[in-house]
Amino acid sequence: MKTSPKIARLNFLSADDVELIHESSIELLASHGVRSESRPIFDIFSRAGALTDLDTQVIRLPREMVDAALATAPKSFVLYGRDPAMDLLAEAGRPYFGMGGTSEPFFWDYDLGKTRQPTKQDMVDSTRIAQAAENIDFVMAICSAGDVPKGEIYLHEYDAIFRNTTKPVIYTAPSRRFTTGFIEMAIAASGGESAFRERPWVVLYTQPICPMVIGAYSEGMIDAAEFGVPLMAAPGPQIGATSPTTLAGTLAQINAEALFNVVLSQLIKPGIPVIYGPQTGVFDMSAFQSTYGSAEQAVARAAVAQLGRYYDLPSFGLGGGVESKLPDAEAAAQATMGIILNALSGLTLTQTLGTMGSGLYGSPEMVLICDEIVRMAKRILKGIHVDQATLAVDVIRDVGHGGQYLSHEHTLEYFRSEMFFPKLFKRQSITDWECRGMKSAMDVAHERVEEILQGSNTVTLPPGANQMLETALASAITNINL
Amino acid sequence: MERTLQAIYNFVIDGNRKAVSEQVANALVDQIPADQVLNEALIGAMTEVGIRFQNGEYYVPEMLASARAMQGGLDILKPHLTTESIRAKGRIVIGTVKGDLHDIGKNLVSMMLEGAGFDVIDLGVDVSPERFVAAAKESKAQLIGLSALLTTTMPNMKSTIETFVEHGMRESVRIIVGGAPVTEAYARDIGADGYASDATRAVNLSKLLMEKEVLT
Repeated sequence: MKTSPKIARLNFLSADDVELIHESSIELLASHGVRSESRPIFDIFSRAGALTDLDTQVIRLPREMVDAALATAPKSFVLYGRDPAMDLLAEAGRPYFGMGGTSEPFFWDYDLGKTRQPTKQDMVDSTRIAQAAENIDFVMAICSAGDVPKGEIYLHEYDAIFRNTTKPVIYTAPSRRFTTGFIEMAIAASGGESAFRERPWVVLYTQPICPMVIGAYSEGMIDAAEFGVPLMAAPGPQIGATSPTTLAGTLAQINAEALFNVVLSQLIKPGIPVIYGPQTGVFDMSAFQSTYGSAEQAVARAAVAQLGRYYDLPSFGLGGGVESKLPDAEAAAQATMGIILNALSGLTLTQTLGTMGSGLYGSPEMVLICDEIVRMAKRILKGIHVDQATLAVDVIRDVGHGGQYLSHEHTLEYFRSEMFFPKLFKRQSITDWECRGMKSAMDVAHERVEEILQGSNTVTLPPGANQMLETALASAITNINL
Repeated sequence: MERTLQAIYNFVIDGNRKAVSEQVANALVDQIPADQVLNEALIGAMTEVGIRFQNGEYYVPEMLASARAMQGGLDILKPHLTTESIRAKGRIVIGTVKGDLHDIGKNLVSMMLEGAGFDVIDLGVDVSPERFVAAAKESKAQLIGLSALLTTTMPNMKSTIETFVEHGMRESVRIIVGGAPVTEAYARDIGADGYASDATRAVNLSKLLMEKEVLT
């Protein structure tokens, strides 16, 4: 199991700010409520004692219901991978990083130098990149299975992802039918239901509709929870359009929406793992676009991480994703800002590494550039270790005036743990760099992509799972088309 | 490889000077020929260290630790080596050129050359052209290594080479240059025989020049 350090170094909100946001959200849930477009969800709240109004379909939550849900939602749980070595200890303040988002409609092709329609093979390839990348801890998608019949796209995406990674998978299933397919196929990839129930290695990504609406999209929570599948509470506003333009107002709203889904998860099945994941995407006032990778949303996301620590729930959010159209300087600047701020604020799960065009596509090269940025972030998180040995006063004396440290025992002992060594970014003399073709980081990343895809690093399914998954996919396709 | 030789080889790679010295002494007790200990175990290990460095597996401190360990073994071995063996790899006079006091790079090159079995005569820093020529003449070195870190001292590489020409010594030595501002093109311009961008490449270059030229 991977256990990242629990070191949150960054708080944008004071303790009073956090209380004010919390109280505003509680007030919104109690007085304003959430409108449900789903009868099953409405009924769950009615039965549990929420104030529900059948005419307006509005559900109002007394404070006690929120407190009760926060009391049963687990503070710590394992986000399983199909391979136990890939398990993550999910807790507030422990940062992990994942590739992509939920089904991105295009794909950035290095050889073309632009985007194109993606294929299922792109899903397979990019999942293999995520599996190989050392600092990618969980897997989503940087493209979609664009070459299969439209109605079956999600199912083929599950197939491509499940076959090619053993890391935890977070993915979407936009209805109960798709959720059933999602779970049945995951069970198949585990080699059977008991194996899956023991280690449910997928997370169901669901979200309410901003502002303050829950739809049928979230009904799959009912089916997923039955199998112990962790649930994601990830309202996704476009700040300024579907949430207030003030960051504080957005935090009050999305916190209310996320808490609403936390309550729903615990009403469905008390103790089911739930991830606190209010998003902070922005509506760009100049271009009618949803934008990723901007400075104010990075700050708001750091506040989400802080709220996650306040509730002691694992948190989730964007951060790797950028609005840049190319894996270029703009992309690296935005990804670095997002990843470093998320890491410092202790956001548990940072998604969208490798995603560009504000969520519309990704590139395997950008995944590997983000992998390198995470490598830097991990060193930053380690901070500075101060003790007698690291202060090295005796060593300074020993080396003497005008001496050198390179051949000192102390250097040999500490340099690997103290110093950062890039893997993708090349350190070499200018002459060497020129001799080797003056490659940009993106070109180097592309070479690495080719190397991974040509390598034999494919993952295997448990015995019998290959056939079971084929059957599960076929049966899910039949059910969807009914 | 024989067990003791393999142990020496491994300890050099690990940078364990004490263990290398002990094992070299054991090898001599076991009557393993000193030349074989030098070539197979010590130099063989340093070649492997150089490869690991170029592959990015080893870093400078580890390479230096191996070089020190190798040196420890060599100190014990030296009295037992044949003259040919000592001379085999070549002798090099090395220093930073006149006016330049930056010696870390030059020291790394020295250590790595010693590790590769070269006989290194290190003249230190701020070495005048005349001192280079005198040392070359006296030691009968085949190679001269010039180092400079500053663009302001780089021209002294050129004047050092010219001084070799003036003394009629240019044909009997091969001159290699290096340092942060130095480039392959500059090396060619000033009439040097080679340029290397780091210590392991300096070793490879020196070996190449020794193989290409039958110099004694």
